Formats: sequence, structure tokens, C-alpha cells
Amino acid sequence: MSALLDVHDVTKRFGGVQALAGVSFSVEKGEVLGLMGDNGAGKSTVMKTIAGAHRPDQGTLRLHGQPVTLRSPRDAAVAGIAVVYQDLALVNSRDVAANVYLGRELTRFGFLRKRQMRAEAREVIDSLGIRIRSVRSQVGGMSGGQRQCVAIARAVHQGGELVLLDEPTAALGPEQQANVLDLIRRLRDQGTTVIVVSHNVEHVMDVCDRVVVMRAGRVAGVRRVAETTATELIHLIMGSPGVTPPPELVAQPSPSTDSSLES
Amino acid sequence: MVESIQPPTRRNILRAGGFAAALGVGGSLITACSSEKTPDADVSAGSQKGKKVVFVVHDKNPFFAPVQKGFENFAAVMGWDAQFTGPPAFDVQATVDLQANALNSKPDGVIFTRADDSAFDANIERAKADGVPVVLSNVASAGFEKFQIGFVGQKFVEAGEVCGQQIAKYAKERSGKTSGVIIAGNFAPGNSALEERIAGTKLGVEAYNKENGTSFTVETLVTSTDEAKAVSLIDARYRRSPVVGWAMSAFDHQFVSTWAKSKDLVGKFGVGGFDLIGPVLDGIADGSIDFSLGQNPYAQGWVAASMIAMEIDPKFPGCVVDTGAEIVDKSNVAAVQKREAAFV
Amino acid sequence: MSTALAPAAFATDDAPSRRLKLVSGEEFGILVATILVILGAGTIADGFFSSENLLSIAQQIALLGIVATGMTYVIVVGEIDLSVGSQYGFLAIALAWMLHDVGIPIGPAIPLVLLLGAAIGAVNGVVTVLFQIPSFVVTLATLSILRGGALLLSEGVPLKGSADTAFRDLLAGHPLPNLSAQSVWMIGVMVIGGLVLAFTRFGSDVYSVGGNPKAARDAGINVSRVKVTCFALAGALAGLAAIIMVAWLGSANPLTGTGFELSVIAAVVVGGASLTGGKGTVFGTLLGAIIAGVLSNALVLAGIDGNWQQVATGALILVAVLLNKLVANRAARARTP
Repeated sequence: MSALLDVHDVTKRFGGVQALAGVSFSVEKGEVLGLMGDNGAGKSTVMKTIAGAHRPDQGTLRLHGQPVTLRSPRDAAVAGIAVVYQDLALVNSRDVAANVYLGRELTRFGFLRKRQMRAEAREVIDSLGIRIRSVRSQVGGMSGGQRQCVAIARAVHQGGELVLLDEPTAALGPEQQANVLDLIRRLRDQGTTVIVVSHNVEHVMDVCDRVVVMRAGRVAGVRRVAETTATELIHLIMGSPGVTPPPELVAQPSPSTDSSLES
Repeated sequence: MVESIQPPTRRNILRAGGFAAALGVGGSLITACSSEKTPDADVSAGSQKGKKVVFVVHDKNPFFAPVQKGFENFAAVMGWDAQFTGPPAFDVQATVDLQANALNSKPDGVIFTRADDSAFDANIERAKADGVPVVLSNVASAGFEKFQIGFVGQKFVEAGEVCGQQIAKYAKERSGKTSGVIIAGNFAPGNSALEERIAGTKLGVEAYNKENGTSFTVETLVTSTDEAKAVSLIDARYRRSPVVGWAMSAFDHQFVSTWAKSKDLVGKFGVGGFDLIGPVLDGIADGSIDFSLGQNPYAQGWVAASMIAMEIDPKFPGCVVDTGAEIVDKSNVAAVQKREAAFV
Repeated sequence: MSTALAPAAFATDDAPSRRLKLVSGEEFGILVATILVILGAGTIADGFFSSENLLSIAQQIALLGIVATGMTYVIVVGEIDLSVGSQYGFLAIALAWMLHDVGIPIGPAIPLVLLLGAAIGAVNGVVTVLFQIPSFVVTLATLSILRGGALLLSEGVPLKGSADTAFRDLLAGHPLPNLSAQSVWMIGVMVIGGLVLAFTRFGSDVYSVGGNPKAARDAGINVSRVKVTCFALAGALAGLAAIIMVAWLGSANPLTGTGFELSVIAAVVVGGASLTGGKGTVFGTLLGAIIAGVLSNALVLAGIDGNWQQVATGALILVAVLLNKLVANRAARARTP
């Protein structure tokens, strides 16, 4: 197994708060890795460090075994790390093709190659199995699930070798959640490496290969999904085996992931 | 806006009476002229029935209400298809466009206000080239003589000179001094008519100084059409240094009156200006304003229209008519108030 | 929706757009409104359809169209410029002042005024993005400063324009009988402005920044630079309009353009642009300007009291915007998968 990304002994302080206290884990090429933890556990800080939005105080990041310094989100993007934040960062007033190509439009003699961009956007959308009637549809008129898919399609299309998804199933209905989870599986099938930051144990168990659980700025444990249970993960998150997990962590029924399910 | 703002004083009844008599004369003149020229023509007062005449002003403020009334009353007598239009606020470009639209409607005559030295010339040239009679009203601006067309309105520099003479006289009377600062107010900087009145006011004050051995100086002050703002500007100026007279280039002496009454300063300086709106006449009556100068806006509509009628038939060229600077002060304010009140 | 693999037949990327190739859904309503207004004008006003009259309208909307093209960029990028009317007046005065008080010949004075306009716009933009002050406030301040500047520079009186006939012919002459040069300038500005906004990377950035500045920034677009460029463009076009105006009218009045910003914003908004940004086209703005021009022309031609013009203009803005919204909503529903 070759590690695509190595996070080694990363620490980060914000004023008096020790956000990360020596975090180490690795992301294997082609896997879907879940990143879990309670609020304030440090998973957002880890994600933003990988995304180039924060610089670690100490520790290193290695991509393909080479140390990298990510000074900005732009650096991360160039290195092949794409992030889909919860707010998705889509331009609602523009169509799907424009959003897929946002900031990287194709031009010839200074003019946009709209036809080609539409065709390629369609190709990406289709290859990911996202169901959108027209790439000329405005993103603002779409469902939350479709918008999530468009945002992921953009991340993949813009050369994301490692795609970070921040709470991709939050605030979606069960059916749309299923669609998004489906898309994550399809990304893995295409060889894309994915980190899913999520609160939802069911979803993580559903699509991830491994799970990194964080607590109080440290890695509380790393588990293979095939070798763990939801209860164990919840105990890792909560920090004590005796604590009853809050209902929202387990209450949601696991949605069907049958890819033949149509809307 | 060239002219100061006057409320839509309804002066048509009295004036219409007087002018109806005048029209009797004018009408018979037309009758006489045309009957010799074309014996078979219908030569009654309505002989220009259906003629389309458009009056375009540069600013449709209430000052122009009596102008419009004079124009429309004359048009009604002639049976014209008359239109009076203008932008809602002073706007050279919009006025040029409205004039062009007026000419596009193939009129039989047009009346324009020429509130700029050059901007309206193309349309005046076009009217002349198309053979459409054109007369200027209210404001003609420098160089209008080159068109050899009629103009009905106040000569602003001359009217300003009258104002200068008056304010110097009252400044001396009220303050008892022979020197000091006279404020020339301007509530619409950039308006050439007001600038010309102020230039005239300076000339008038200088002339008064020469004749009477006084040494008054004139200082301009930008005021506002907004009363509260104008009053605070006037107050601020007065606090800075003594003032012996206020000569406003439009109706803003009304604001001086408001301010002087509220500060109990009436009688400490001379106050005068232009335009006979209601509050100004009230100020003259109660002594807080010494004088105001009228410019007969009704004539600027009526006489300009009659000039067009004359140019349509029997084709006499227009001429220049000064509507003057009627001095209204304590001695005649009662009569003027009565006249103005008579317009419903 | 579903993530199931989409059959090829499901995709209709071109179908709903075929009929909207030339006119997008957002512009359809305003196009209908424009046609209705033109037909209405022809019915109530004799001689409306004469080529002389139509070209006269084209002349009357020329300066509005030029300034509104710049405003379209500013509004699409999610900002507003209330100072365009003052810029226009100030730059006209600045041109006359350069010619007569400084003694700069007309040749170099023209590019200087365009640069000055761009610089004023850029200042609007830089203050807006650097200090995060709403452009509404920044340009409200500039509106007042520039109006005062125009009055100071001119000492309150109208200034003479240029007597140079080549200058007047080039900018405000008649290349063909009845066709005035300013109409040609407007068409040139709107064609180039429209193409750049619709078909270039910069235009695309303008829509993205206006639609969602954060998303645009995340995508690597220099949001500040795009916004400042739009303001500078609006300033330069106000300068062009000022130059043409001085060539046309032969004088510069310090009160020029008072309230002009409202006509400009009205043309852009009637043309389908959204004040929240991200939406609008130069073609729509042209239609907005045409409606304003036709309305003012037809009412005079038909002999209707000038005061009705204000009422009619206001009513039309409302009707056009409502129609626009209606059609846009329907188009959005039709295209939502």
C-alpha cells in the first residue's frame, strides 16, 4: 500500500487553544477515509491544514512521500487536493458547466469555449453518474443533493487527486444522502482518493474503508470499517466506553445504497 | 432651472381679462393683415385652428406654471393643438432630446428656452432650416442674436443691476452704515441666469457706491432650495461676520426672512431678491423683506405664443421683448398681493 | 433526481436552449416589453416609425446606453455606482477645463479624460473592496464630491466645449444623413461590452464574482481586481459619454448628469439585471435604454402632457421588471430537472 498523503505529528495552536496536539495518520491511494470527531475535536483544523487554509505550527505533510508546504488553498489545489466545503461554494446564478469550470474556463483567442466546456462538463457529470438534465441549468434551482454532486464534480474535474468532503450528507433528505454516498463510491471506483469529514457514523460505515477518529486535538483511534462497529466508533468519539451516545449520531437509518434506485 | 421657483400662482383670470382685451387688438391686427393678403381666408381669431405648437422648457418647476398658463390661454384663443413640456429638473441633455422630439412631430411652431450658450443651437438651426417658426422664452443666453429670432423674457444682468441698486439703498437705510458686506445668494450654482443676476447685482452695487459715496462690497453665498438647509447656511454666514444686506438671486430671500424673524434680526439689514411667490410677498408686507423683483412669467408664455402666431401668419419676424424687473416693495405690495391672489 | 447513470437520451443540454440561443430566458420578458412599447408608440404617435424619428431616438439614448453599459458590469459584479451621473458631469467640465484653462489640445485631452474617468472609477472600487464599505455608500460620497468638484472647477458657470470640427464630426457628427455619430459610438460600445461580458474569461469572472464572491475567491478568481476593473470601466465609459456630450452640445454645464444615475440604473434593471449581482446582460440594458427613449419620444409626438412622462416611465419600470421576473421564473421552472 502506498500512502498518498502522510500527516505527521502536526500541531496547531490558536492563541491559548491547542487545536491539534501531534496528529498523525496516512491516507492510502484510492481509499475512502472517514474523519470523525465531536465538535472541537480538531477535525476541521486537520481538514483546513490539508486544504492549505491553515499552516501547521509543527509537523509535516507528505504527498506521494514528498514533503509539501501548502501556503494557500491555491497551493493545495495545484498539488491536487480539492476541497468541497459545506457551503459548496457554488455560484447559484450560473449554470452547471460554468460552476464545473469556475475560475478555470477554457478560452481560445481570449473567448470562452462554451461548447467544449458544456460537452466536457456533461462528460464529467455522466461519468460520475450524476443525474442532471442539462448542464445549462442554473445551480440555484437544484436540490441540495444535486448541488453537492455538482460541487464534487467540480472538485474532481479540476484535477482533485485527493478530494476532501466536509459533511457531504448534512442537511440532505435520505434519498439525496443515498445519492451522494453513491457518488462517493463511484469516485473510489474511478481511483480518486476521498476524505469524508462527517458526524454520521452510519454514513461513514457505509462508504468508508477506514476511519480516523479524533478527540481533543489527537487521533483517538484508526479503524478499518470492516473490522469495527458503530458502537466502537461512537465510544472512540465520546471518549469513554460507558457514555451513551447522543441520538443524532445513530438515529438516522442507513439509506439504501442500491444504485438502481431512481428518484 | 433658470427661473426661480414660484408656486403655481393662478393669475390667469385678471391677466386673461387684460390680455383678452389686448387680443382683441391683436386679433383685429391679424385680421387686417391677412384680409388684405388673402381675402378669402377665414380670418377670425380661430384662423390658426389645429396648428400644432410645442413649448419646451428646460425645467418643469412651478415657476413655469404661469408661463404655461399664458401659453395655453393664448393657444386656446387661437384654437391651437398646444403642448407644454420639459424635464422634471434642470437637464440640458433631456431638454435637447425633448426639443428634437418636438421637431420630429412636425409642428407649426416651437417655443424653446435657451438656457445654455450652445447646447440648443442645433435644434434652433434645425427648426429654422425646416421653416418652423421658433421663439425663445424666459432665457435666451449669450449669442442668441445670431439666430435673429424672437425672445420674450427678463434680461438678467439688467435685472441684477436693478437689484444691486435697490439692495445698496436698503442696506444703507437699514444698517445706517455706508460700508459693509452685501450677500448675493445663489441656491442653484451652475445656473447661468442666477449667475448673471449676481453679476448684475455687483454692477448695481458698484454704480450705487459711485453715485452715493458708499463702499459696499458683494460676497456670494451658496444657499439651497431646501429651507432648513438654507436657513442654517444663512445663519452660519451671519455668525461669521456682519452683513448689511442680503440680495438673493432667486426666491431664497424668503429664507432670509424666515431666519431673521426667528432670530429677531428684522430691520438690521436690507433684504431683497427675485420672484413674487406668496411667502416673499408676505415678507414684504410684514417688513422682513424690503423688495423683490418680478419678471412677468405669464407674458413669457402669452407673448411668446403671440409671436409664434404672428410668425405663422402674417409672417412677421419675432422681436425681443423684455418682461422687465417689476419692483415690488412696501408701497405696492398690497396691490400685487391682490393681483396674485386673484389668480385662482 | 438520482445518481443512477444517466442515459444519453436523458441529457438535454441543448434542447431547452435552442430557442434561447439569441435571447436567454431572463431577457425574453424585456424583449416582449420592448416590442409592445414600440408597437404602442407607433399606434399613438404619428410619424413614430419614420426613419428620421427612429434615428433621432437612437441619438437620444446614445449617452444613456454608453454609461449604462459600464453600469451593467458594476451591477452584475454585485456592486452599484451612484456616482456615474456626477462622473459624467465632472468629466465634461474637466474636458472643457483642460481645453480652455490648461490649454491642452483636444487630441491628448480625450485620452486624459478617459484615463481620469477610469481612475475615478478605480478609486470607487478600491475604497469599496479595500475597506469593505458598501459601494452604495462609497459612490454616494463620490457623487457629492464630484458634483462639488465640477462646480468648483467651472466656478459654477457652463464652460465652452471645443471648436475643433474634426472632434465634433468624429464624436457627434452625422456619418449618414440623420444617423448621428453618437449612435454609432453607442453601438460600438455595447457590441464590444456585450461580447466581453458574455464570451470572455473576464466576463465569466464578473458573473461568478457577482453571483457568489466567496465561491469565486475559492476558485482562485481575484475578486477585488474584477470589481475594481468593473468600476474603472464604468468610469471610463462615463468619460467617453462626457466627451461625446461636449462634442455634441458644444458646452459643459456643471449640473450635467444630475440624477442621470437613476436613468442609468433604471435602464440596467429594466434590462433584467439583478441588484444582488450575478445577473444581467448588455443586450438587456440596450432594451432598457430603448424603452426609456421610445417612451419619452412617443409621448411628445403624441402631444401628451410632459408630466405623464414621469408616471409612464415609473409604471413601465415596474411592468418591465414584473414581466421579467414572471418569465424568468417560468424559464427557471421549465429548466429545473
